[in-house]
Amino acid sequence: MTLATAILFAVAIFAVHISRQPNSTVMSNIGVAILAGVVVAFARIALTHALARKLPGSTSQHTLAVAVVLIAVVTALSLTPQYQMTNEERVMAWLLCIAAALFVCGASRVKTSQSALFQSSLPKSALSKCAIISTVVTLMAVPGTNEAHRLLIVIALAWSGVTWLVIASRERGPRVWLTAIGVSACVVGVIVVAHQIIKPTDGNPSYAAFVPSSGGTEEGDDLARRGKGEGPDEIAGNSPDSVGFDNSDNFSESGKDGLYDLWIESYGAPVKSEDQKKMVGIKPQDVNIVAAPDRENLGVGKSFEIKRKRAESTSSASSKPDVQTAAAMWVKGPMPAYVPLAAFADFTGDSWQAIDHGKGAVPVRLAGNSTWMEILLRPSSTAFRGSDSHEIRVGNLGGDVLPFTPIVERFKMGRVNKPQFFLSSQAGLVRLATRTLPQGATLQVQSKRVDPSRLVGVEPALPRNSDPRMLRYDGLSLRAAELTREWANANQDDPSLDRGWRQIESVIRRLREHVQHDRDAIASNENGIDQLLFETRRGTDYQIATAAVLMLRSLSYPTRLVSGLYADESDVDARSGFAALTSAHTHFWIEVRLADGTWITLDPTPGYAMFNLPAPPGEWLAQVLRASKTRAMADAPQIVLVMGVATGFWMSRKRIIDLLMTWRCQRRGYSPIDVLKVIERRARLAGEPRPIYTPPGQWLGQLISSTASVETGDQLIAALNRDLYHHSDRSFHKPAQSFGPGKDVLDRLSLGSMHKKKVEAQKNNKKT
Amino acid sequence: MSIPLPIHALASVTDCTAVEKHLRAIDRIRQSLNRALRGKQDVIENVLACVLARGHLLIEDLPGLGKTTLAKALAGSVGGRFNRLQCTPDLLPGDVTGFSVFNQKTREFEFMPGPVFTDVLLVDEINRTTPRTQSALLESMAEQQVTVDNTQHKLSETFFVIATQNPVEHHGTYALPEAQLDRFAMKLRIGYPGREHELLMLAAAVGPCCVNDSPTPEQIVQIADLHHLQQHVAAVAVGSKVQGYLVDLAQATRSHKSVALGLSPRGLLTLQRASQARAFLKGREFVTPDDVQAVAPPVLDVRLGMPAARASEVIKQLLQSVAVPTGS
Repeated sequence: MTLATAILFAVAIFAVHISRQPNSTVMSNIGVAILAGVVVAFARIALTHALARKLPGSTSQHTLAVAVVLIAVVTALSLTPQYQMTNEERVMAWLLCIAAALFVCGASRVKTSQSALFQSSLPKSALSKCAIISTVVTLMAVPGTNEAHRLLIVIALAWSGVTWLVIASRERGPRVWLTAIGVSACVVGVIVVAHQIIKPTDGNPSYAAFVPSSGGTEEGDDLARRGKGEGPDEIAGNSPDSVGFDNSDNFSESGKDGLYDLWIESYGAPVKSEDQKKMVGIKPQDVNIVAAPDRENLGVGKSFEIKRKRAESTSSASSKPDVQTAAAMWVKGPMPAYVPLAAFADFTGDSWQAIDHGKGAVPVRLAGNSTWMEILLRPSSTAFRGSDSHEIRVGNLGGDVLPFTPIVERFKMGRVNKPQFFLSSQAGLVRLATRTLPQGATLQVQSKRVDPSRLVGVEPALPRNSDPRMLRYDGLSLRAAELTREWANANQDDPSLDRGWRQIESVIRRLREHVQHDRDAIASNENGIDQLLFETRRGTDYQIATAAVLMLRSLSYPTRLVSGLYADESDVDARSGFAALTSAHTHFWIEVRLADGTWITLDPTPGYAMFNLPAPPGEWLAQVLRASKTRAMADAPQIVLVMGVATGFWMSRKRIIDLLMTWRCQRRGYSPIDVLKVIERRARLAGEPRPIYTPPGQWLGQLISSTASVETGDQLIAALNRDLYHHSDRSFHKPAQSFGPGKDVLDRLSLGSMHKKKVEAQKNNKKT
Repeated sequence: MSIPLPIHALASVTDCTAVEKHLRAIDRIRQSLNRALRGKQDVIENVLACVLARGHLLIEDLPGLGKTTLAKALAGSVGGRFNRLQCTPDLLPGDVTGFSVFNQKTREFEFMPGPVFTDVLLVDEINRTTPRTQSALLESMAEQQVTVDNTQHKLSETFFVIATQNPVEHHGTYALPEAQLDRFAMKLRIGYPGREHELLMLAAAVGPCCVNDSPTPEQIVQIADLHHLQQHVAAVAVGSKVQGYLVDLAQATRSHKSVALGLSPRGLLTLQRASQARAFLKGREFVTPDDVQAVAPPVLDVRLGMPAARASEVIKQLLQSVAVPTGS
């Protein structure tokens, strides 16, 4: 078992290696795998042998020493450029080191140290500690199980947890609660692994039935998609290849204009400026309309005012029974997903101006014979690591901007596969050339994934090579600029000092810690940013993002504001795998330009993913707890009932087993062997089983002599011995079908009386 | 379909009265031995099992604990010829087996049978004699025959050796070789009697003047009856489960780390026969693991190569390491 654990750990190390170096060759991968396995196995053997000898010091000192050495090695490894780890991963590795030290040093106490690699028995305390650590690491690793190496770590831990428990269960000890923690670790690990393997999709209806999904008419779930209140079934199929636009009503052009309506619903209408208000008072005939504004250039949604009225009530909008139809779009794929729909460069102090769409060149081409549309001028950066694939279904989004994830490589949109259907904008977004986005369109999008650990080695774009609009920070007060420099730790005279990704990260991190996100916070006075930073320290996401953009620009990093939709794990419906995005998912974030031309998504709003990466474990845990609380409140009677029944069953399990056995014995007419089986079972349940080396007749004789009459006992033992041992090739004996006094013996040697005896024996032991 | 009925199964059905008669006879031997050696029921039980299993017996204990008394009482109650061989360092093989003497009258060599030509042979203080003489006993014990001057001489059908020895640590002893030890079925230790039994013993000793005054044990069974009993014991059924248990036990002795010499196949056969005898003594016609466990300590003690001081502890460990077969 220990060997199997070592192998699994080696696999986990190997998986981490692969995930760090996607371009490594097959041979080097195999080499690392073998090396990892050998290192783990040899470390185990060497440490076991070294510690089996009588070293000075206690076991806990040995444990400490080994743990310190292991942690030092891991920390050194984690600092090399190859294995850059996030802090979270580093903590996990440290914890594992402690567990390994406990495991090794605990095993060394075992006398037969040579075989310790294959069969180990550990002292209970070390096992329990290992179990606790495996719980913690499992919980930390769980949020990222979408990634293969994380899943493997969880599998390895669950396995080792089970191993430890199996070993621990052999020894009985007083630390029941520690064992309980270990059990929960294993259960969590196993459930997560199983959940990842058997996904509760529609293809798996039997499992999906157990997973709470919204639905029906009674449940007011935001994402209802089951039962009578279903939304319009406007999509013929799920594959982008099978979907095209036709002339049915469902695919008719939407009258809505994309983000603008979402903004109104989500953040409320903008406060009208003075000159606009004046115009309302003028009689229509007095107004000299010069020309109808060009929809392309002056359409709604081309600017965003940061001073707005409070929205009506977002919650009432989302609890409509037919909310399904209100979804702007659905996303399936790695979460969290950012879908940028507009980018802003110019800030006038109270409103953002969108980067002009312009009449861009045709930005795409058909890739080979496939139906994939490739983006020309794809960015390439050393910060990329692999790709993400998302499936996006358009709801009543409207507008003409295609909803893509950031840094898109290629996409598929059914039979809409001519390059002239698409236009690009200066912001790097792709639009439909001649019409608005139809409802029901299905897109498959493949985009580059950014590895935050690699960004440290990449230069941000230099100011002189950038669009000057992306560097203006007119709205930022002096106070705020000073605060920025303090956070950036930059020299005022020479802002290029310490320039680099760590500085950007530092500013964003400090900002996230400094402010709180409050969707209903409204800027009341002129300078919304100062109010946010120094007074209320609460703000909406657009206020925080605005502050972040201006702060980074003041440090001369080219930065822009982006708006669109945001989805994370909690939005995903377990059954379909899609997250339905409504106006409540409208969000603002920022993008910073790198020297190689890539815009990197960054989110300064607390509570949102910082780097387009899974949320930190604390937040994930909070989400899970919140969800469980909601669930528990809704199903309280059932949960109480089930828990009551389960507890009752657990408390009386011994009696139930005993009843079943006795009933079976009675039906068969109390044959001696059956009577023995029942009594043996009772002894086991009472905690004093028959020693394997004691012949049953002898053992039964001792038991019976204290309670039942000796005569009956002797009869029973004689019949029992005859039935058990009188079979051979040379003689034959038919086992007795029934034995009259069996019932009497069973009545006297009841489970209760055996328990009593055990308790009395324990009392006597204590006295002596 | 008819199942051929084994002969001895029929016998056990029809000879109920015969079995009871045998058991009564054994009961009387038991009583007689108990009179000779007070308060040692379990030792006597093993002695009886050893006799019925047709095995030779080795009694090891300190001088004066009643080894010879027991042997003499057994020989007396079984009847038949009884010989006694007192071993000394200068005893020669010829003194044991017998030798050829030139008869002046017939002008031929004539074989003079030694003390082994008997039914019950008491070899007293066997480890006081040299290994050479000890080995002379080997053939007689194993093959029940003696070869002198290239002539084979048959011994009695019920030839039975009771050997006594002092603990090996004492001065002037020669340890028995393993090959010789394996010929014995059991090694028994008698030990000191309890207080009440010693009181009884003292009371019984008041009156009689010398050893010859004590009543000679009455003869209870004929030597032919003993042979019959031994055949009965050999027919006691041993179930496949119990045989499996015996093999498991033998294998456990071979892999135990404190045992230098594991149980030989001959030893395993002896163990089975001793278990049969014990089952017979308990009035059962089949062997149970209880029987095996009861006879295992003396049977294993004589033939397992292990430190004498830890023998009983090791045997206990061995017995506790093997699971008793149960269930169907």
